[in-house]
Amino acid sequence: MRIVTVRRISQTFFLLLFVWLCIVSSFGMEWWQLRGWPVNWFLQLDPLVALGTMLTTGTLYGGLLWALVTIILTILLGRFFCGWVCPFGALHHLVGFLGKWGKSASYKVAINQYHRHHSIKYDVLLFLLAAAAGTLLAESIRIAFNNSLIHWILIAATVCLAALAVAKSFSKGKRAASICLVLIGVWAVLGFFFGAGQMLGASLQTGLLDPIPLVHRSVNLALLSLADANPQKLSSSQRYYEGAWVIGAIFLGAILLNLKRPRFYCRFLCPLGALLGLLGRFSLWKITKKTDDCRHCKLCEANCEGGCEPAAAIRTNECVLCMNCLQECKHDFITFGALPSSSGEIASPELSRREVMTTLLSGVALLPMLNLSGSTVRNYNPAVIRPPGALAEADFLRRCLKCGQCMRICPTNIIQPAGMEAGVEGLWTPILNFRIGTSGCQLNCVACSFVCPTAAIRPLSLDEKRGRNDFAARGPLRIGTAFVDTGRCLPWAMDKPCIVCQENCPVSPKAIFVREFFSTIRGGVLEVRKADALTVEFRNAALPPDQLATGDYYLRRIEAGERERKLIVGNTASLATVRPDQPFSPPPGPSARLEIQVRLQRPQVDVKRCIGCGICEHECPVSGMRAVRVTAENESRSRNHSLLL
Amino acid sequence: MNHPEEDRAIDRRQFLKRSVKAGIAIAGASLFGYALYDPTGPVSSEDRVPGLVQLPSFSPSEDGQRMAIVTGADRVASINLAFKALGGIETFVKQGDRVLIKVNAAFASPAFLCATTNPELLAEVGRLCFKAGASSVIVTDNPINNPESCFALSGLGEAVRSIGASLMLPRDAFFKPTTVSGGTLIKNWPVLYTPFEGVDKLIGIAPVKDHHRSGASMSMKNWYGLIGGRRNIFHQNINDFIKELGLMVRPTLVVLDGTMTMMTNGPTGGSLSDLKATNTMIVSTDQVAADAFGVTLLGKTALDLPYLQKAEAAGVGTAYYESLHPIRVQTG
Amino acid sequence: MKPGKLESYIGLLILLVLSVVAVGILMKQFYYDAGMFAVALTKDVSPAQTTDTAGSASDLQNYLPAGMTVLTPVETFGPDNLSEKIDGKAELYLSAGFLGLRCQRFAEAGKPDLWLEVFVYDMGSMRNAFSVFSTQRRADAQDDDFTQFAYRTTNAVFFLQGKYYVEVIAASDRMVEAMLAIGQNFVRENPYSTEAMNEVALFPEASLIPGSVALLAENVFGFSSLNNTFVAHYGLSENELTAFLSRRQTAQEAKDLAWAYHQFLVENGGVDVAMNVTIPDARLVKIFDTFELIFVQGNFLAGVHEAETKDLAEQLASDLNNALTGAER
Repeated sequence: MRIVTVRRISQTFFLLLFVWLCIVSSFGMEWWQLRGWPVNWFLQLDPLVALGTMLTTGTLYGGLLWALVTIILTILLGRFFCGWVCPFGALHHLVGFLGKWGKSASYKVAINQYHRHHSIKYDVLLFLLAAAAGTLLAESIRIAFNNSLIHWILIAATVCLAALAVAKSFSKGKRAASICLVLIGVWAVLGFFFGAGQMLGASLQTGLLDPIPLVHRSVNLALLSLADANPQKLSSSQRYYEGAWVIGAIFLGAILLNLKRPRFYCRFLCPLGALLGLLGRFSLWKITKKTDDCRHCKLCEANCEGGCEPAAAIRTNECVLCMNCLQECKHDFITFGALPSSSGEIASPELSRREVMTTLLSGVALLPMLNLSGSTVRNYNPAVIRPPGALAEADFLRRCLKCGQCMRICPTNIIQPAGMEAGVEGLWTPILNFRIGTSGCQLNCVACSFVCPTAAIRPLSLDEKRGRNDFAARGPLRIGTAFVDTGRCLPWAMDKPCIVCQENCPVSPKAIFVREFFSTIRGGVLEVRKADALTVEFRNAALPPDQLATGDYYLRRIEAGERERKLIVGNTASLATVRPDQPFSPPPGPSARLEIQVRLQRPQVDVKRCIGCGICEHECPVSGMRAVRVTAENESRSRNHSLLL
Repeated sequence: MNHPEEDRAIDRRQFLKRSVKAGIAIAGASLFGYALYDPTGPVSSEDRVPGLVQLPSFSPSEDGQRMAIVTGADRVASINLAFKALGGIETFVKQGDRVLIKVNAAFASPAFLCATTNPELLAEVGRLCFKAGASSVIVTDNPINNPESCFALSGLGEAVRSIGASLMLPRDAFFKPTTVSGGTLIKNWPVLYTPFEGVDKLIGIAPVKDHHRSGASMSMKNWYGLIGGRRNIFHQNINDFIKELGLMVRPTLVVLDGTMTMMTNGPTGGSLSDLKATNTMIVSTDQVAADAFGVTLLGKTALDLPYLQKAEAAGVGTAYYESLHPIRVQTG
Repeated sequence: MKPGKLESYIGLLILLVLSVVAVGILMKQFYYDAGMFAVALTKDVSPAQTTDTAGSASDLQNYLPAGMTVLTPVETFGPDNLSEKIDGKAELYLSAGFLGLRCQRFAEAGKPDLWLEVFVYDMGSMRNAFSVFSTQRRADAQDDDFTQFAYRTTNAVFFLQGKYYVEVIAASDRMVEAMLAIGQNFVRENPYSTEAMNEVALFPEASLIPGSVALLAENVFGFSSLNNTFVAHYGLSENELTAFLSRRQTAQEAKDLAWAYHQFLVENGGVDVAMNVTIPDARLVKIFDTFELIFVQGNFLAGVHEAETKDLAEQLASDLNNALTGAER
């Protein structure tokens, strides 16, 4: 059993498993639906998710403990995850392989050489982690500057050590020391300028480039919904996602780049690969050359996936354990062992001091600049309606991976990836769009909160969502409030009866109630030619035949009282007949003026009861810009969005 | 270089060293992971509310509430007579005290329109505090309009400077969440807290004004200017809210300036014709009593202000101001 | 190069790990909270349910044996919306004095396919409960003994306890134990004092088909004035006969009602026939192909309904008359 064969089996296994877990992320109890399938397992295994959320929230949530398995195995074995488990990596590997097909050996060796831009992925990692570390910085500043000198010294020492660790990871000796000093200085200056206030916050942007959330997002939103178009559908109706084309294009782009260089993404861009590379630098077992007799024929490098140059001094943190070199070496010089390679190893990525400082500082500086738009406080975008159970915005952005799991599981397809609605930080985070899906947010559904891997949408019980039993005092969870647009609503603005929104409001008692209103229709004031108790013939009338007999139209003498309204049960162009048990007495004389009124039930929203589920918006027949729309006011998760005391 | 026997020993040692390092790394990662492990996740989706604060009470500890009512057209003279009647400012402000004065600087409105606290009055009260030996006098408010322009245009900023007091303009970091015990409205709501830190005495100075929504704006409503956040929501239940303001803030004393009362179109006024010279200055340790008398200057009675009854029922003070035996002084 | 032994072993070990992962995942997918899915997929329950007060939060749960979980929330119905749950059958309950229904679905933990629904009808009195219990008795009933009136079929258990009529209906026929356990728990938690329903005992025992006593609440035998009538089935000489009795307020009322019923039968094509038994105030009517014997004894209106042969009807009527003579009024 060749190890390379095992590796291929492993990659295939995990790729198929990944695709299966994406397929079953659909709400239901059948074997091909959610049930108990661990659909977040890949996200939980991902150490960048764990590290990112640890930095932004100071906790390691629930299932993310799986990341320890990856970390421990990486410390022992190296970047096994990249070469054996990562489904995105497997795809790159496959396409890269296809791209190399039929090319000469020297070509293959050339494109698999180490390139200095392999270091870019470390910059990406640093940048993302720095952005995530904002809260940590703020906390340490707050503690240091608000407490006694002793605390200040302790905190400064801790920051020193941390900075040293970071610096040492990337460069050696003197460089490390100077990086460390600059970092301390910057930290102190930040303390003076920002205090521990709002501006120095944190934001989890690792999900943009972290391969596991990225591939989940691409498959969930772009690929699987394309699959819905075929007869053996995965979903009962076609699922749509706004802006999915961008996500699909990025995915396609990343895949196609492998034709230029195999595993392009893994080598140049992947922050997870960078993190695992750092962790696995000193792995106990690694690819090594047994002897120095090697003649540098470079056959081993023809299929080297990591671009790590095993023929020369192998770059351990680039090696993805594809084992191709082990297989290809005709002299059996290469093995996977505990002894250091005969040709030496290069363990650190070569990042210049400037590179490290720039990326770290940009990451930290990014956050205050983003916060200037005020979108997490006063200038919040009311179109940003988050799923039920979502945390308050600042906390939400600290946890959301933009993985798209919630969007995939939502049974009514209303959770959509945001564009710029929630700001740059909110790109591809979930917001609700009630027009695009098949209904509003279902009353008894908590699927999205169940499936979120980082508790950005925290797990809700049905009792809490409905406001029952233990949660009765708090009342039901609200995600927004519906507002009737009286300029577009049919009974308000168009004299047309309609109560679809009120009928469909699912809460009990209903959050939409109606007020009766009688409106004289256009051209509805007419003179009588002759009339008896039940039938009236009008002069100069052109009524639409039968259209007044729908049960909504009434006839009465002008300005007469409420009691005077008679229901019209039949009409021709010039005649109207009223209900037999409501005759005119006395019948209207000739030249009397009567008016035709339509009975309208005008909807109004009861703010105390509305939970913002959006079913009314979805059902509203004014199909373009709906006449009743939900916006984020009064959502439970933000106190300063509340409408009522 | 091949690996002869002796090299194997070195390599094994190296391997052991590396194993130990790996072991430490693994142990460290695991410990870190378990230390931060959070199985349940966040339990509430609401904005997190760090440490609640409570405003301390600045009420004078002696028994019995006191009140002085001075009739006269000159504010400076009236305020001096009022304090004299109550035993002098020294009864309230002691040597070394830090005094906080809460003024009404709600609008960027010139002083003569009497929509804000009169700057001469503020200057005189501040001066008296210093005379009594106060170590510092701080003046603050969270205006409705922009703070800088409010304090500048109303003349209050200049008044503060002229007596050597310090002005604390509101900043986001100065607000902390508070909950009023015995209240239902002010829950985890931001209050302008930092000016109160280290303060020994609190004096409120407010003009008597008509108010469209609450009937009148006087010393109790003055504390609205300490509330932050989107506070206009409380207009939905203004009377209960003013009662809770009274529960939240227990001042040393309040100065209610009825020299020129805004009789109509309050609280912004805008025209001299809105004003009437009622020539009365009220100083009291009981804010409810002060307001109960102040409302008579508007031509109304205590019953026209539901918040007075609510505040009295809640124990903030008494609306029956005669029970305080107010000392009445007439000037020329 | 041919792979070395070590390489092969390690390869196999890794494949083993992969299989463990696969098996682990396959096993994991069985464990999930069915309650979360089932509720969300069903339409929200009727408005009656939202008036659920905190204290009454599904006391039906208390009757569950170990190993069962809640599948759907408890639903409550009153007389005005009972038909939303049981549709046309509501008539039967409403005419029998129905007050309220509480029902809820439960399932075996981890096996949502094995679910059952418990219906607890509050009929207001034991007689009313008995009425709906006895008139719905299934043909393949098998008596149970965990309470006085109980029987089961392959997938359901029916019983009455005091004023409650309870049905436990399972989606599978493998849940008998669970259903019986629920029944026993219910009986234990809801003790009742035996009411006067001694008409049941009045029927002569000879040839009485066990468990066939039923109480017809209204519109008995199609006659609108006849209500509150107990019936019992007898097996005599390979024929099945139905005896009935109804306690009235006074003897006069019984006589009047007997006459009225007689007239009703005659108006519908019945013909008076001579009798060979000496029962006071007795009439025998032949209507269509069957015989109807009506008599009065004390406060009771009694008789034999739709008998095929005259002799057997008379015989049964005599027995019944003897049993009723001297019975408590």
